[in-house]
Amino acid sequence: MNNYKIKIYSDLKELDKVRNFVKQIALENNIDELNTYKIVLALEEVCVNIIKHSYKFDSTKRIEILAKIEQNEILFSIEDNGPSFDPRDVLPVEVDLIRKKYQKGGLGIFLISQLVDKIDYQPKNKNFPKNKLTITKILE
Amino acid sequence: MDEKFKVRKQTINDVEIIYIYGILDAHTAPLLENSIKETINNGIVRIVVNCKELEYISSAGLGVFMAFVEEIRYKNGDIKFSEMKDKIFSIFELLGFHLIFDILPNDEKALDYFKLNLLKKNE
Repeated sequence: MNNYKIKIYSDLKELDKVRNFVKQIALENNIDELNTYKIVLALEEVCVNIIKHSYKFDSTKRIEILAKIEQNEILFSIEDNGPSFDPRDVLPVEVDLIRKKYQKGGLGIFLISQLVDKIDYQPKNKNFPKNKLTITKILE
Repeated sequence: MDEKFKVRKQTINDVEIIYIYGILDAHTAPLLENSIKETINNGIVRIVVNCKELEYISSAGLGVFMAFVEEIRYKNGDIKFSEMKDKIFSIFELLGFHLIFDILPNDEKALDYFKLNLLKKNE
């Protein structure tokens, strides 16, 4: 079982680091290009949501990403200590609605749901002081 | 940032071909947004986005096209894509964007579509 960790600042410039982090994991674990792309994309969406909505572009704040490979799946936990926000609450119900209304917002979260197999969210609480979003990708 | 994402443009009659290179993410999307805005301000609403050198697109990148397409189509123009890599196409497909936009094998084909006035319409 392999574990990986990266800590970034709440800044859109830091997305490069997230991409390279995933690429390195993919390389070490023989994850194919398309799955790597999907994971990178899901993580970017999660980080952008935190940077924009939770931390409001305060680049002194930090986001921590932990990755864990287990048999045929890979889990990423993304931790922040901004206001809690469960992205599952705003999952659009209908794909067509997004397309037809040309809505710009909400695309990111919809995309995450299409890219990974499972999304869990645990808001910060007295036992654990950070919000923790976990996404799981099954590696075929 | 310059190396991460680049835009180059070429105007052929009333069509602008916008070549995009590299990583189109939430960080670089404003660059493209300004570039398309400039094209529209120059009175051009027929755009081919050549994706041959595009390595990555996220929802922020897709959002740029969504932000302009309605206005452009209203003005009797369109945004068409050419030479898209398979991995980029699969993201378009995942979001149903392949139904909203014409994605063509090359610029010539895209220019032909404009010549024949084959424009997608606002729904």
